[in-house]
Amino acid sequence: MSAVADNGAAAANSVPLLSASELKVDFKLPGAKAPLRAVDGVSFEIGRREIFGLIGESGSGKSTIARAIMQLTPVSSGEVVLGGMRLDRLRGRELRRQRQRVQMVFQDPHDALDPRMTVRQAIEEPLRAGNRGSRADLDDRVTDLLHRVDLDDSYLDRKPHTMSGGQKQRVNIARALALEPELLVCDEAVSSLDVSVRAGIINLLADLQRDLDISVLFISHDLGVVAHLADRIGVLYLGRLAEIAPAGSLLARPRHPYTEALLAAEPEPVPSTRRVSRPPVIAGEMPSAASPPSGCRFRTRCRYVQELCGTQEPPLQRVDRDTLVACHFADKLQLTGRRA
Amino acid sequence: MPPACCGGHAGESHASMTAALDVRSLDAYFQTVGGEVQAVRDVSFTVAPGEIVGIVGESGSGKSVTALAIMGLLPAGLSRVSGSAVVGSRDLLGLSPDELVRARGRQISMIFQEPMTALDPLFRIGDQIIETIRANQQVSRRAAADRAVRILTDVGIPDAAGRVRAYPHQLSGGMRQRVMIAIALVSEPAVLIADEPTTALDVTVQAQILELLAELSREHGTAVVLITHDLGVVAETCTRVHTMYAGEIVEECGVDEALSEPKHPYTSGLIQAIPRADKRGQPLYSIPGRVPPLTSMPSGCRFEPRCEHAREVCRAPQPLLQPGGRAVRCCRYAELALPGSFAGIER
Repeated sequence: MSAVADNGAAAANSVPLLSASELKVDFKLPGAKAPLRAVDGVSFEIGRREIFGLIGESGSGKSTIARAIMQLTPVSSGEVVLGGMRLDRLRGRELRRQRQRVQMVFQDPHDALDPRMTVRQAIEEPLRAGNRGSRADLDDRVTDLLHRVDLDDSYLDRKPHTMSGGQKQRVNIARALALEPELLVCDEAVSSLDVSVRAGIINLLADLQRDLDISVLFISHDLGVVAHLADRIGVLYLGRLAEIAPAGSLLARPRHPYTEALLAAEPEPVPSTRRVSRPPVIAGEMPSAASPPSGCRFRTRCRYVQELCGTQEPPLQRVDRDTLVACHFADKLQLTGRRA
Repeated sequence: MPPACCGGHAGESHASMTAALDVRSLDAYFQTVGGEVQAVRDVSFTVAPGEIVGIVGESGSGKSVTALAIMGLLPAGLSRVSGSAVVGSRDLLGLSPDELVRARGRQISMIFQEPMTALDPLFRIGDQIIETIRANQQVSRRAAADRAVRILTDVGIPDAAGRVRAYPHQLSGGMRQRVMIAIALVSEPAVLIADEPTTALDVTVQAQILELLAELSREHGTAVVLITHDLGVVAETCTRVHTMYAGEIVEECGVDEALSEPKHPYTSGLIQAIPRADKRGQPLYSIPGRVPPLTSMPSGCRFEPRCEHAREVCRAPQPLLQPGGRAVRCCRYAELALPGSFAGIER
C-alpha cells in the first residue's frame, strides 16, 4: 500500500491485468416486455498490483459487475479481458481453467463455508479441485495458507460454528488464495463484520495484496473502507460509472455531483468542533433500473441539473491525466470534498 | 449531512432536568440449557425530552437487548428483567401485559433495522397506520385516515394521499423506514427507541432518515434513544453517547468528549478501528480477540482479556466511576491518555 500514490498512474500506463469494456448485463424479468439492464456500458481497467475500489448504493450494479467478470452471469455485450484473454468468449473446461486466475470473497463469511467441513477440508477443497500437488504438498500448502491469513494450526480441525465472523472470513480468504489467483474480487467482504474485527480483515487484505503481488477488485457500499484500501475508485450509479479517479483526489476533489453527494452523506466520526460544512443531503432515492431517467441518470437527484442533462447522456470522459467523469459540467462545477 | 439536533448541551447535568426516560439498574437474563446467563448488567441512563442519546456497541454488546427489555419485548418465560425504566411517572418494567400494550405507542415506541419485519405485507400502509391510531385514540376511521396522510407527509413521503394505498413491498427500503417512523410517532410518544434504524439503508437515504429523526425529535420534543454500531452516526445525530461492551455500559459522556478524549480503552479502540480518508495506507488499529461468551464472562473488567492497558488491578470488578460529568468503567482511566479521533493527525 506504500505505492498508493504512484500506482494509479503506473496502472494507467502499463498493460492492465483486467479490462472490462462496454460491459452490459441484462436480466429478463417474468412478465416484463423489455429486459432490465443492470449494468449499462461499464468500462474500467485494473492494473497489476492495483487495488481498484468499486462503490455504489444497492441496485447500482456493483455485484452484477463482479459476477459478470467471473462469468457467473452471462454478459449481454462488451468484453472482459484478463491478461490478454477474452474471458467472455470461453466456455466449459477452458473457462474453468482460466477462471481460477480470479477468485472471489463474499459478504457473508458463514454462508460461504460448508458447516460440516473442518478448516483443513475447506482450504483443501479448491486445491484438490485444481489438482495442486501430492498429499504431503497439500498439507504444507494448507498450513501455509492458514498462516497467511494469520490463523494458527489450532484452527485446522475446527468447524465454522466454533469460529467468529472475522475468523471465518479469514478462512474464506485462504480458500480464495489457494489457487494463486492474479485477481481477488471482494464483494462486500467486510460489510457484515463488526468494526473492530473489520479493521483486522482490511489490514490483512492490504498485506496480502502487497506480499503476493496480486490485484484486487474491492466492491463495497462503504466509502470509508474503499477509500482506505483502494488506489483508484470507480463510482457506480444505476448501472453506469459516474466517475473513476485516484482515491485521494476523489475524496479531496470529487468531480461528479453524485460523488460529492456520497461524500456529504457519509457520517463522520469526528467531534462537532472539527466538522467542516458540507453540501445539503440530496433528496430522493435511486430510480429503478427498469426505467432509468433519460439523459444523465443522476439528474433527478442532482442539485446542479440543467436542461441539457435531461436530453443527452454524458459520456465517461477524461478530465485530467487519471480522472474520468460522466458529467456535462465536470469542468465548470466546483464540488466539495472531504478533508484529506 | 449538517450537524443535526441541538448540540451544546453535551456537558450539562441532566439530573436536574425531568427525564422523559429514566432507566435505572437494568439487568436482563436469559434462560439457556446450561442455566441462566446475564445479557445486560446494571444499565442506567436518562434521556431528556427532545434529546437524542446514542448507545453504541458491536454485536453481543447488549444494546438491542437493553432496548427490548425496556419495551417489554423479551420472550416471557425465557428471560428475566429487573431494574426500572420510568417514562413520565410510570415504571414500564412494573406494568401488567395489558398496561404495557397501552403504553407502547402512546408513551414509548420502537423502530427496527428492517422495517419489513414490523410491517404486515398483506395490508396497505394507510390501513396499518389507521389501525395504530384507532388502537390508541377514540377517533373515527375518517379522522384517522386524514391523520395517516398528514403523518406520512410529515415523514417526507411524497404523494402521501396516493401512497396510503400502497403495500409495503411496493415501497423502497427508505420509504418503508419512513412509514415505520410514522407509525411509531403517530400517537406522539414521549420516547422513541430506534434500533439501527439506518443500517440497512444506503448512505444518502441514511442521511435523510437521520435528519428526519432529528427534526421530529426537535419539533415534538420526543426523547430518542439511538442504538447503532456506527460512531459516525452517533457523531452526527446525538448529544451524548453510552458505549456498551459485553452487556455493560463502559463509558458515558458528551459525543464530542467521547470522540476527542475517550477514557475507556474500548471506546478508543472503536474510534481507531474506523477507516478514515486521512489515514489512507496506514494499518488500522484492530482490537484483538473477541467478545467473551455470556457463559464465561470475566469476573473483573470484561474488556480486560482484549485490553492492551490491562494490569492486575483490572481483574477485580469495575464500578462505573464518575469523573467530572462523565462515567467510565475503567480503574486506570486517569493514568491513560487514550487516542481519540484525531490521534496521529497534525492539525
